[in-house]
Amino acid sequence: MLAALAVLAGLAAGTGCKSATAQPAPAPAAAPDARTSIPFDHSLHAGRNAIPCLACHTSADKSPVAGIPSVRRCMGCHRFVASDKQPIQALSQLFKDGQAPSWPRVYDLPDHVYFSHRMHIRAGLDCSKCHGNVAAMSKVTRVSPMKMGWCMTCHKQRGASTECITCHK
Amino acid sequence: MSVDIPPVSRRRFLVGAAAGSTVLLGCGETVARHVIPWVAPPPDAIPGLSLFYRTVCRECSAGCGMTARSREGHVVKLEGNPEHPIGRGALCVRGQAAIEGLYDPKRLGVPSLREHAGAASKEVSWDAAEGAFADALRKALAASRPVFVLSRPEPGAVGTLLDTWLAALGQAPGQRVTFDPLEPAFIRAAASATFGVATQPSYDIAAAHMVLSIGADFLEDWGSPVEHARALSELRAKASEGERRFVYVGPRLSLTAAAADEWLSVRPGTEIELVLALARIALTSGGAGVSALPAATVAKLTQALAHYELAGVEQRTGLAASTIKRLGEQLVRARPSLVLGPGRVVAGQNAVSLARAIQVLNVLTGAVGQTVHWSEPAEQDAQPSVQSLDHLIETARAGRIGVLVVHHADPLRFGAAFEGFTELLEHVDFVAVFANHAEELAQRANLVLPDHHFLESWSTVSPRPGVQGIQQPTMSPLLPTRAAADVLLDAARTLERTDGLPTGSFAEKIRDNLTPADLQRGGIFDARPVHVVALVDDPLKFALDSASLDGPESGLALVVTPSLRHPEDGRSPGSLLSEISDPVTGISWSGWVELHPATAASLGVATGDVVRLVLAGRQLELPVHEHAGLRRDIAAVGAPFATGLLGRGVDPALGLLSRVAIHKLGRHVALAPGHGSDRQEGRGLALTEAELEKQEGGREHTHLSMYAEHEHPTHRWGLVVDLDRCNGCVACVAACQVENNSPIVGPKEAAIGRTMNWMRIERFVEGSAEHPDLRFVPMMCQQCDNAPCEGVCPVYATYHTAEGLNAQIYNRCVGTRYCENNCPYQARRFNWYDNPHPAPTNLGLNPDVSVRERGVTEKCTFCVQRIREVKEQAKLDGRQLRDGDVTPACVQTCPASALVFGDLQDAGSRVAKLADDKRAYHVLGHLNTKPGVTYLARRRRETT
Repeated sequence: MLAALAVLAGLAAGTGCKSATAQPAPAPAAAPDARTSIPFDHSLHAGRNAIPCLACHTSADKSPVAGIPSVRRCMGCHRFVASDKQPIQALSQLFKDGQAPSWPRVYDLPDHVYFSHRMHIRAGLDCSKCHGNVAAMSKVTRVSPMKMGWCMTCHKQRGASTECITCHK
Repeated sequence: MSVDIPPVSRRRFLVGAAAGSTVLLGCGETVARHVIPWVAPPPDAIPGLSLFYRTVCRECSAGCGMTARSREGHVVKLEGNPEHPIGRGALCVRGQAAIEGLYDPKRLGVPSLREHAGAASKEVSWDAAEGAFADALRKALAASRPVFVLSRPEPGAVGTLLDTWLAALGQAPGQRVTFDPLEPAFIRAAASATFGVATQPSYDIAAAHMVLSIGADFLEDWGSPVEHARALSELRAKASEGERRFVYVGPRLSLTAAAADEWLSVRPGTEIELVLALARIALTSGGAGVSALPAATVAKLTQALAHYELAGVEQRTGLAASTIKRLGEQLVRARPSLVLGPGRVVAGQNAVSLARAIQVLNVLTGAVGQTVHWSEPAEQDAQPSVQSLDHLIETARAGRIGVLVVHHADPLRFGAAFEGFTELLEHVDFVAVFANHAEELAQRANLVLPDHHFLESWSTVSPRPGVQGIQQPTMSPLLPTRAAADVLLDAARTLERTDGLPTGSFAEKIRDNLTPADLQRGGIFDARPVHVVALVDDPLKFALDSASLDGPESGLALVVTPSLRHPEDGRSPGSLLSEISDPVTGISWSGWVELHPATAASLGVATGDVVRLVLAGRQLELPVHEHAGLRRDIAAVGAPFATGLLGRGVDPALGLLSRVAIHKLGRHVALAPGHGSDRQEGRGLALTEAELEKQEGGREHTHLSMYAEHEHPTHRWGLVVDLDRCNGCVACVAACQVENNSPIVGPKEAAIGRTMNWMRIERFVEGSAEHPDLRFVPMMCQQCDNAPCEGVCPVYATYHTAEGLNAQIYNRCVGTRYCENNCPYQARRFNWYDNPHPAPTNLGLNPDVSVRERGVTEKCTFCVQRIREVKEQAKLDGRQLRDGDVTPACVQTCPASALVFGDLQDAGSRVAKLADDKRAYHVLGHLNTKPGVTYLARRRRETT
């Protein structure tokens, strides 16, 4: 549990712009480190195995935050699936040590932007609208600029709120 | 050297300038951030959503229910628990600020051990610490030296465990000492003499038609402040139903006195004469309780009270006979009435007698059984704290203490008052301290064992029979601390002395007896039968000390006053409590001594001049604050600042001390100005009903505008502030500051008015010099419909939302401060610095509110993050918003229910109805600002 809290500190550091500057995100330790070197392939999970987005990003329809799956969730399958592969063994070791991988952020909004995944899913948007065809990406890259003008174009087209305070507070 | 300057558009230039001035580092795309998932998520946690845990506040002994809001495994806000009978959803300023203690960077996390006397204390592992603890206990038991436990009041599971643990070690029950320095032991002692029941009664303030407080500052430190504030507010609300009066008698216009209809004072030390004169009136003019008394008792009372005829009492107390007569008649007429007290400010040498006189008066007026209740005595911990501390000190003097286990208590914080305790430490072989901070006692201990914070621990808390609050952990321990109860249990197991102790962990022991419903409710609450008490045969048989006060003849009586902003157990307050201004004086950060302006003038000093107070050889230097609400023959010092004057053996619960001599030192300091002028200067900010009627609605501006009116197609959010209910307790200020991540600026910046609180309590002194009237006005952004701030922003960072809020978009703000200059309510604060949130305080930040940067203007938005959260949830649930769904932080915590929030466009909402009340007015409404905040004028309070 302590380990879980320790990694949460990393998450919380990402919630305030100021905290990000005052306390830098945990720097990746000197390579090779299992926490930063585990390869994750979306095209394998979402593509070949056709696992739905919400199976791992479980809170996308319930919460403003989509959520990165916990290591326990990874191990739910990987205790059995591909457990002989080196990266999975590395993950398994991390889990045993009470540690979690440190994933580089692909989509990162500034801290003064409030974005709610659940409201966008409720509005009927498909994940791919913003995140692209992740099922075809081996390594996910950003496909949308995530700039205010880009958000506003869609908000205007769809008649969604264009008030500043909808996203900034 | 020439520099090529690329051509820039105006917009690009502005963007660049803004970036330069506000330091956007960390928000750009170039800084790679990592995202780290949970290894295993906490149960029920969904990232981005809040979880709520019910627990109990341990900041004072009142034991209010608490609801902790947790995000991603960390508590980010504390609120009250509406289902808990004490507090009922509200918290005081100390409860709101408790989160600061949880994330205090100075909180102890690692045990430390002093190997032998004189050695330096070293950090050690838990194994080593627990080993040393068990060894010390083993040695003490082998040498037949007693083990004592000194703890704060623990009315619940931890207290029971401490008792059982001592018993398991074969120790006598008297060796568990409860240290409760401010417990008014004189009330118990008096009840024992008056009724033969040595317990504290409970009071039903809201049911009384006439409340008379004899120096009891019940909104501050007398019992349960949140519960009392709610009760007084209910009493106020019933004023329209008939005569309801609250009269305060005491030497100082305190927060509680300011809430009264009438503030009276008598010569310090003569309060008992007034009470006995009132008792005489009740006895002779048909008090409701007289007829039920045996004739013999009546005869003895008549004889005892004969001396207190009006003329003599007038002469001795300095209070007009007509006033005494009126008070007496009002008490008899009001059925039921209630006399509260004595409070600390009137408790001196005669405290027990005064308490007895008050209890007899409550019997004569029929209040006992109606508004004063005793519960079954067996259910209350009847251990008077001071007596057993004496027992501890005596045992130590005989050189016989093996181990002293201290559990969250520190008599050393009270200066010389417990000097005997300092000597005691030399007679103890081993001192083990369970604490959260390395304060005085911990620094002298052999072993310091860091306990969990109360928000991380299990216990039960029963502040009174029938109320069993459950204290449950609201998050996993932040630091490698251990629960004190488990350390004690482990030690007992190591020594194989486990008789009666639970076999598993302490948490399991508590959890096993509770259902999930109990945990969700926050406790087990049931009504208990009240205990019927009867007067002893001759209840007023006491010899009165003459009311004279010792000390220099020319000096002033020293009165030690309560403070809501300081922990009662003497801990130093955190920076949040220090920065929030004292509501009565407006001072933050420093201490002060209060003098009446006339007294100050006769001493040749003025506000800010430092004086030396001398009392029986002890001295203290404090700056003067002139307070018109003070008797001329006293000097008042707040309890947290008075410890230097406490003499050896002086009970800190007694606040009326000897006379002090005051010497001018010729130095001057600037006391932090919490707000501007003391006077309203005719601006009509804090109005009474009568003053409002006189205005005949003439001060609202006839609305004229060159622009189209704002449309509010869905909601217009509004707030109503009832000045009749508000008592200025500043709980809302702390709630706002915690909810909205407002930084603490420190004493230097506070002194030049740069505090960052979005909400403040304005305090004005009205009335005459003889009858000053303190008025409090909670002031926050008024969310004007015709807002002066909006039109002057050159970058459109502040604008009017469709729901009537004056939004402030921080990432757009370039810090011109035009809006701040143009706001007539001073509701906007400019952020002069990047205020750091060093780890682990950053974990307590509200993730729904941005942490603002240097160079932007900030303000209240009626907690727009809460409005949004509720609206999102309603949308997901497919329903409309209901009245009461949205509760800003200030409204949520108000113990007096003085704040009501809602949609002004919903005609059925409470806020819309109240905004139409005949007491409603807008502050500075004549400026044509059309505020969204409506104030309700204070009801009539005659000062006859």
